[in-house]
Amino acid sequence: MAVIRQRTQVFNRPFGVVRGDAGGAKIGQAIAEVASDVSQIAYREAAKNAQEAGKKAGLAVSTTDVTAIDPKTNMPVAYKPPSNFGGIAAEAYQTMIDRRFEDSVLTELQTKGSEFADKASNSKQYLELMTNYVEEMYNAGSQGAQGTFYTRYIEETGKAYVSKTFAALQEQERKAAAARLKKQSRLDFALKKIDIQKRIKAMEVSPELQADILDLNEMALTQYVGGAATISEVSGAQELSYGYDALLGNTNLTQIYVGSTESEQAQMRAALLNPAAIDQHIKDPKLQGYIFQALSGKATGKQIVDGLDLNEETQIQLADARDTEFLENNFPTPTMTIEELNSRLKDQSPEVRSEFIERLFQMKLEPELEATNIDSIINELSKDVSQIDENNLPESVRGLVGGMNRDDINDLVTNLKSRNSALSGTAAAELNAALERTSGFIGSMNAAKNINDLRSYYVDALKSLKGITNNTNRNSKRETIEAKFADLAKSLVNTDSISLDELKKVHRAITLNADTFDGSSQANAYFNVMSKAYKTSDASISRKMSAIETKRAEIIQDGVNQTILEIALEKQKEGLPLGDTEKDVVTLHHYKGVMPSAITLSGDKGFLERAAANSILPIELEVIENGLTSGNFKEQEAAFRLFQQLTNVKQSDGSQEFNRDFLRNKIDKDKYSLANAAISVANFRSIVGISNESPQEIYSKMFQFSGSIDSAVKREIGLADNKNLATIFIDSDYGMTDFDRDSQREFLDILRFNVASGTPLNEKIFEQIKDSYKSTLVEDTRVIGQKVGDSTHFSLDVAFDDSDQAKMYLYIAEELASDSAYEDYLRLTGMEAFADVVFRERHSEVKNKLIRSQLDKYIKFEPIRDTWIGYTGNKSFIVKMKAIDGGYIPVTPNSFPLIVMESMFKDDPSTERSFLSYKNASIAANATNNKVAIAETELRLFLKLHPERYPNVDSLFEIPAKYKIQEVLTREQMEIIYNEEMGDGE
Amino acid sequence: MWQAIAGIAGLASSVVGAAGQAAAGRAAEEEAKLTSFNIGTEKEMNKIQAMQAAQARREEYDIATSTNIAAFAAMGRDIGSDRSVQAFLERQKEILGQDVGRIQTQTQFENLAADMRSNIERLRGANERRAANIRAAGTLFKGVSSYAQTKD
Repeated sequence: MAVIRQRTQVFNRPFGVVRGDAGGAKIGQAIAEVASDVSQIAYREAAKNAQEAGKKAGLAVSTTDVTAIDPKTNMPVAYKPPSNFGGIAAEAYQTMIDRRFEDSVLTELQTKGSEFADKASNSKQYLELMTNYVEEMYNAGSQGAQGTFYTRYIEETGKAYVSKTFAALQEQERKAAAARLKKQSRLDFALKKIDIQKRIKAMEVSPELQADILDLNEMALTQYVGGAATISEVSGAQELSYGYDALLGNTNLTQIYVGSTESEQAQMRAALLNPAAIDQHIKDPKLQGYIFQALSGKATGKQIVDGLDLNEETQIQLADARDTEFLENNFPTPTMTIEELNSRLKDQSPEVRSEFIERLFQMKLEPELEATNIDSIINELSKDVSQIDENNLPESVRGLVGGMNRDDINDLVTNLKSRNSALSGTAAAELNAALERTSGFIGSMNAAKNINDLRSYYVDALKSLKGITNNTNRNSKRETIEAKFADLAKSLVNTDSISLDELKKVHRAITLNADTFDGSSQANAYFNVMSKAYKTSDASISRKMSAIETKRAEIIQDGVNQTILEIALEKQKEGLPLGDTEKDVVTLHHYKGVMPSAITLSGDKGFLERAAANSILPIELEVIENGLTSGNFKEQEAAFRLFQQLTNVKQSDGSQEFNRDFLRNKIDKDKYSLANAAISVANFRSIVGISNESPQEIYSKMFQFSGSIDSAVKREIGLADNKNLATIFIDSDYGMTDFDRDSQREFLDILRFNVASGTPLNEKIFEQIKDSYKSTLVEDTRVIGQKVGDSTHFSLDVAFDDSDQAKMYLYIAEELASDSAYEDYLRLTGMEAFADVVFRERHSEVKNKLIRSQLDKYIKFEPIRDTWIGYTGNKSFIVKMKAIDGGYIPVTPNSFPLIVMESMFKDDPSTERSFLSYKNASIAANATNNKVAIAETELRLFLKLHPERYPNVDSLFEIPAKYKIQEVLTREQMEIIYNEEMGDGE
Repeated sequence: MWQAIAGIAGLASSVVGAAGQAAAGRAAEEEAKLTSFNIGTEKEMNKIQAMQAAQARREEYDIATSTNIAAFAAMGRDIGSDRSVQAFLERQKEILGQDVGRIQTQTQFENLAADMRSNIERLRGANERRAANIRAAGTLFKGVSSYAQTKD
């Protein structure tokens, strides 16, 4: 046994240095952080205080120092900050000075603009006064030194302001001139008619010529009065009738004219209208002499009428014209007294007098008309005029019957009887209640103490008219309300409510140019308005007093305009059409005299809403029309965008949707046609891959074409100019009789663009264009449908390789192979060889080769746009995605895949917003997958929708179970499911 | 009205934030205390392990010594008088003594280190709490300052 030796087994190990973080540094760090925060807060407070100090100091500086420019520094005198200011305070101070400077300049411009607008007799004088004033401001500011920000600000702001206000004034003048011309033209026409009738009777001219002359004049007048002709068209017609007039002025000339051919007569008329160019029309010197003789004897209609011994019939016509003119321009007011009436009608005929009094009678009677008293009024008025006892009539109309003839009294009775029959039973009660409501508001108008209250009651009274079902009652009440408003408004700004002593003081203060007046509230209001008018008018007292009267009328007009505006805006909101005056007032309200741009309009949601309600203002139409030809690309782009939107507005009458065109016949006809053609051509060129030129680029080329594009097209393709271009779709020789209406329009637009861009269009090119265009149309509607499936076709190319595509086509071809109609079609279209392969030989290799190379040119899939396949766990369904704006989100190859949408439904079905934002974010990343998904979806859906042709569709591809279509739902069903998935769905 | 409500809401959130920070500091301290306690436990375990190791060493020596005495006896050596045997046995005993001593020393120093770590952990916890309190005070200050700026 061996001895066991003990060996040392235990050795001490290093037990390590104990190192520990006791957290002392963290305390230091925490202290440092808190100290830093405290320091920042203290700094922020100090900076804020400094800013406040700077602002206050800037506000405390006098206006004079703000607007006066120091010639040494070229900056406002007050611009240098106090010396004790630090950087922040100084900056706040100078910013305040800058702002005050800009405000002062603008205020000064507006004050002077208002003053000059009152003072100037026309817009040109206003422009001159304002331009000079701005120049003075600029010179005073710069004092010969070089321009700085401040002087430039004066110059640029001043020019912009003058330009804006000048344009607005010009527009007002133009409208006033147009109104004057319109009025004058009517009288001219009436006189001219009399003149021509007289002359025709005095001379022996052919009945045809007589008829020509009378028809021309009558037609122009009728069109003009009816609003169908413009001033320039009427002027043209007038000139022409003067030409006839001159023709009648020379007996020899008349005889020659009657015996001439139609073209010779046209030459003679042209020479009469434009004697300076007589050589171009008439070669015979003798005939030229007759024409000059005729022209020298021509007199104006007025001179002729004055110089003629008119027969009775003509005199009656002339008197009628004068009576009509008076009645159209003069209206009674409910407060008119018998004295005022007599004064107004002093020079008028008995007929006018009677008619005018009848109107007044009706107006005064209206507020007192009740169901209970109407019978007694009718009874009284039905008596002989001499037997009528006015004491039996309401007090307000007493004294008027004597001025009316029997016919007009009968008119009144007839009117009252019709009212009486309407005033029965419930209808009568409702009408009475409505009339009472309106009368109540009229009563409130009477009690109004200031112009604002009056206007408010006036608006309420006009609104209450809606409840009055009877047109006559309503119109009569409206007249009463308007007349009442004008009278009361006038009285509210007159001096009746001011005592004589105080009035004297007010006038004295005004004439002494006092700045303020301390008196009663009525006197103060009167002083404030009138002293301004007084100060800004010319020097003479009479002119100053006249300025006061003008100002008073303006105040009344302002009240009227404001009321018209409120009513017009309400009508707009309800989608009701506006009258011309209302449109003018709304335009002024919207744009304050500054013409909007197409870019502004296209970004203005309010405008598009109004457009959808068919409430487009004339100025906005003008902007769109001008924008189409604007040289500015962005402006044109915006105008075209608006054009496309407004020519294709979706509306619904409750039962069906339809598209409306709000621009047709409202903007220039040529521009409208060209713009439509440009959009159509641009779309076409983009689809077929010719180019991506925008509509405005296409339009510019077409717009620059000189002459008629259609005539040029006809010339190039050998069609007689007097034939309609649409002939090519009727004449089978052209081979386009199968074009539908849209295709016809698009094809013609392509031809027009071709000619307008300077490309020759001979027979060969025409055929090429035709073949190319036809290749984009569907060859066989029996198989596919009516439209090319662009997105599907594209998606198939992207999504499937050649062998997959061939497989699809092969499947379809095999299905089609059993369709004898399809075989007939192939043979008829020159595809006999292909038909033999498909239908007879059945040789797979040859067949596949042909399918790959040929079939895709003939088979196109109907796109199932706007469609998704959804899946709820045990049922698939189709969903039309509803967008926020109420339309449908189009499903394109760029949309995100089905699986994403499905997960969105599941995970976040609460809002469409998250859905849409996710869609946008997913587009780029999922582009390829999207196309695959769409292509698969569309193809399968297409095949599924035609089960009679493609019964084996489900076994053709391995379709994942959840994408299999188990049920195809109706649109209503889709929307129900969609709404359930998406909350309320709206 | 809304600004006032927003200002009060801001102030309330800063108070809640500060309370949260202070609570976090207290939690850190509690955590450090727990760690310190665990270190103490580890130290006791260490002692027991050392005792067990020393006991095992002793038992091994005893077995070896019994075996050696038997072996010397079998060799005919006089265990009581043979000086060389005595010296051998003394030497074996000395080695045992050294080993046991080393075990005790190692345990002693390891326990010392554990004590130090435990103390440091306690100190760290206390400091974490202090730092959190300072931050909480800063948060409160900022909250009050912001409220003062935003109130009407």
